[in-house]
Amino acid sequence: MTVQSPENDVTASRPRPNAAWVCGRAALGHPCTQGPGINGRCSLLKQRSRNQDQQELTEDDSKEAKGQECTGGILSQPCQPTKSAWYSRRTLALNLALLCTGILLICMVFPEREALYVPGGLSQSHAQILGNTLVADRCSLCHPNTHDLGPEISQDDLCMNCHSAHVPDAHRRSAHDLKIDELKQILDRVPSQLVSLSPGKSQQLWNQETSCAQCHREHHGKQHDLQAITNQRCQSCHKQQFDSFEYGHPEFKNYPNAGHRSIAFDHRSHAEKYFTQKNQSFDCRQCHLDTAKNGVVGNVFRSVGFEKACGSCHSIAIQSELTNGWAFLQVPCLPEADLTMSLEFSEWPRGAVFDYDGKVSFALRLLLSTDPEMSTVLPKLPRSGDLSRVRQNDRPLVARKIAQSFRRLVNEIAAGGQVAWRKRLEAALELSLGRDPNYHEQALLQKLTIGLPPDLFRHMEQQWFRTVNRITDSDSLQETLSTRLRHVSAQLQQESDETELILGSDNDTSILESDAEEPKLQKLARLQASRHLPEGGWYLDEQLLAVRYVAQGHADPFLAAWSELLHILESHRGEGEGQHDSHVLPWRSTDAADRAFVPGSCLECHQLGKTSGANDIWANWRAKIRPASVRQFTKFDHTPHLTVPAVNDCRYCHKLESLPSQDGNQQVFKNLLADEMARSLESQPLANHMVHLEGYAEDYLSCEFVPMQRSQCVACHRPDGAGSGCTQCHNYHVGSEGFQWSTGELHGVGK
Amino acid sequence: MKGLQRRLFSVTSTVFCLAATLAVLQEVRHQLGDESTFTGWTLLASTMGLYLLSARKKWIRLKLGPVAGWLQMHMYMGVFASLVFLTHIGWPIRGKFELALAFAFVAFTGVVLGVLNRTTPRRLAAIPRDYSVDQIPALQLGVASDAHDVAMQSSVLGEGATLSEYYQRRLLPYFQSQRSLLYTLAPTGFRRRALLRELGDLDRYLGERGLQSRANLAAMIKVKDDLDFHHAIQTRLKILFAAHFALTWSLAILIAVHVVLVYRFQGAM
Repeated sequence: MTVQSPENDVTASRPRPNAAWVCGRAALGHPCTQGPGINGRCSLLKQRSRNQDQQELTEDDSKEAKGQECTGGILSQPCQPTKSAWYSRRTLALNLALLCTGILLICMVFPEREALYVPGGLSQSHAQILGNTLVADRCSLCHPNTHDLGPEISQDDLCMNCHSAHVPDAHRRSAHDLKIDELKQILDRVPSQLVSLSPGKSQQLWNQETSCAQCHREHHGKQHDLQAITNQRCQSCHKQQFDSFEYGHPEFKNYPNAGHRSIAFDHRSHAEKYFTQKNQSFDCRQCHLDTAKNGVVGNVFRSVGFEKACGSCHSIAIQSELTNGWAFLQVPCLPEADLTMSLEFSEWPRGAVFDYDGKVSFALRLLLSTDPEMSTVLPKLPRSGDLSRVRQNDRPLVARKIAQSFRRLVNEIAAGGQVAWRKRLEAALELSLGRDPNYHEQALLQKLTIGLPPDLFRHMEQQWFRTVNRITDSDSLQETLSTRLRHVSAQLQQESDETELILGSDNDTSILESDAEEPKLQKLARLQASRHLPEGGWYLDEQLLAVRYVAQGHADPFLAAWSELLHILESHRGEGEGQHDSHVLPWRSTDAADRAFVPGSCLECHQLGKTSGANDIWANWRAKIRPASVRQFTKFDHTPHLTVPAVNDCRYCHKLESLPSQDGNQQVFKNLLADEMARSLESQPLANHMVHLEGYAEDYLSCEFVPMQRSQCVACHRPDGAGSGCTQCHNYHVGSEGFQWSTGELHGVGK
Repeated sequence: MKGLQRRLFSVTSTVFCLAATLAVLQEVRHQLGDESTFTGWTLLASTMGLYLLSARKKWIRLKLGPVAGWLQMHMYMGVFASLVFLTHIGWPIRGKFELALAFAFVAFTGVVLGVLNRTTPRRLAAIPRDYSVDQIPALQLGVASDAHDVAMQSSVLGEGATLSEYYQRRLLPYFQSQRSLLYTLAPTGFRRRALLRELGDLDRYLGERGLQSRANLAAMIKVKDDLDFHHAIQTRLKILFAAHFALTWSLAILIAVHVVLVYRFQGAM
């Protein structure tokens, strides 16, 4: 091997690591000592061109000559320089960088550029945003600054464009979408072991803004669950650390909280008494399970409806109570001697002339309350409204005044029809409440007016009070007389049990002719509600001289409206400024007897809550069902639980409090009552205090179930079982409405 | 600082930085902060630290310590940056752009280069002599020329055509041509051993001078193989380093675009 090592040869070229070009003969082991120039031109060629002063070598030629290999001896001839290693690397890096930049620029031009720049696929629910080819600037649907939407629009605003219906209060950007005072209320009221914020954190809580993307991280692919929040994220505010739901989670307190029941039901007596007497099994599913529907807590509901749950036992009793109808306007009885005392008594119905007697119903009481003279009279009526029970000394005056007012009422409605009726009701309600009726109350009044037959009142006026001429000034005398004759004839026929029907024709001849042509007409038996009005409606009770209403059975809209009106007046007592509410309900109506003011005993079962401006007229009547849009702090779905053999018996969780252990329940109540009293004293005037606490006591004493224990859930909800993450049972987005549901304020508990 | 101490210091520093980063990341999570922003800026800072090695090579006039120390810092910082990168993008890697970024991040080439940087010197130490990769082509040419002369002289010296025929048939392609790409990627001694075995099989046909020529040819086969081995190992390193270096420029561009896009889409720009 004759290759000479260059490092020992002082004449050999020295390595130039920073040189861009290397002598072309280096690969042959004979690099020149000078090396190529910085432009990659062989130095020999440059020297030669300088020495020989080749004029003919133009600039173009020199370019061609660059790197050209000359003929002749190997050391004396120019070489073709090659790029050094670092220069090659730099060229490669530069080319790659240019290529990369070019690709990025080209990709920005293509309409599908989002597909390249998107940092991961969107979740299933949002995938249509990028998959939708109909929209041009798809990124700008979620990212505000991408297409100059303006700095005033935040990403959360864009989220709320679509999600305002799902989480309406999320725009507040506060913890749990709650207002500051609601957050403070939680910190004040919830036991400290549940929400234990780090020191100073509680003060920051309402100053801290949240944003959607803090928890809902997008661009993690289609399968990513946007709602999957780690327990640690919850504990960033809820500093009370515990290992898991199984170990360390605070014990339940009064969960599930029944809150206010809109339908009263005594589970214990039904289970132990009524069902036992009927030899029937007390199956919770019969009244609470509806597999055809899916509610906010699964297919279990507070009630599946009267027909399914209660009707088999209670519909007959309700029907029998309503069969004869409600005499809601009855002509008061006066003695013969009083008939001469007033012109209004001159044609008083003979059937109502014997003594001071008759009942003033709640409806009549309300309608008469608009009469200024009634302000001193109505309070003297007993609860039952029975005139015969008014104090002996007051009775004549009270009866006469009521009779006069009644007379004017009938006359007014006979003349004005439903319009006059509605006006009376509105005026009475306004007087009792001390304010204009709200939307819900207006709807109630409408329901009380729909179907009211004015001809019954005209009939009363014409036939019972014989004032046909006075109320029909515009009618012709002939028509009035014939009408009166027809009614008199009908009455006579009815009283004497005549068989022929004379009504409907002015011409006796035609009647005779028609009698000859038509088959035999039926006899008119006495009107009986049970027989002639099985589907409900209005009729005049000629015996008791009353306007009666026969209800349709359960859920009759007219009776329900009167019951709710009664409830409104009861609940409004003491709140209104007017004194006239005492005319209608002058006593404290806390006992069940008052609820019988309206037949059907609706209010025995239906515990109507606070009335509101709800559009739905039945809003207060149905069992309270939380809308799916309202999220409480806790959530639960019965449906999957009922498929688990071990817990598909409702009693696993909802154990009825046995009688001997009621003390425990009462102790819970006492504690809660003490807390509530302390709070009420601070927040409410003393006058309302007792009423408030009574309602509270009623709600809590009706708690019939043993509060659940966490251990009952832990049996399945472990990390290796059904899971035990925070968000499995808790909602983050609560908002004001959910907060009110959670704390029971919306449905009247006020705790 | 001794090599072992330096390595221990580097490992400790890397582990400490990683632990500190994870602790801060956990706190950011607890504060409901933006983890990606934190890991992104950490990654950017560590990536800029990686570019310091290139800067050190440029700043030869400044006395900034030996390049070996900077290289070691570069390697450990690369490991740290790779782990931060994984926390930044999550797994699986999301998005085509992030995929390109990951590719350009040079982590793969860097890691392979780091491994080869450790193993290659040991492999080259098995060769009796070190060769500079720039000199190897010339040395290969010299060996080829010498082998040619020996083979030709063998027939002239009356030993018959055995060696020259064998040289013509088997050794000429070996000495005159470059090794395959496969050999460059995974150099082996299969061909060297096969040729030496075949050459040994010719002994019974050779006389004393022929055996001498055969021994010379065998020595040249070994030298050529050593040169090829050196060339393959060093070329592999050079290619990987070129790829590693070249991708860093693209990486810088992609990082810049990424930061702009992120802040643009976050609404901060």
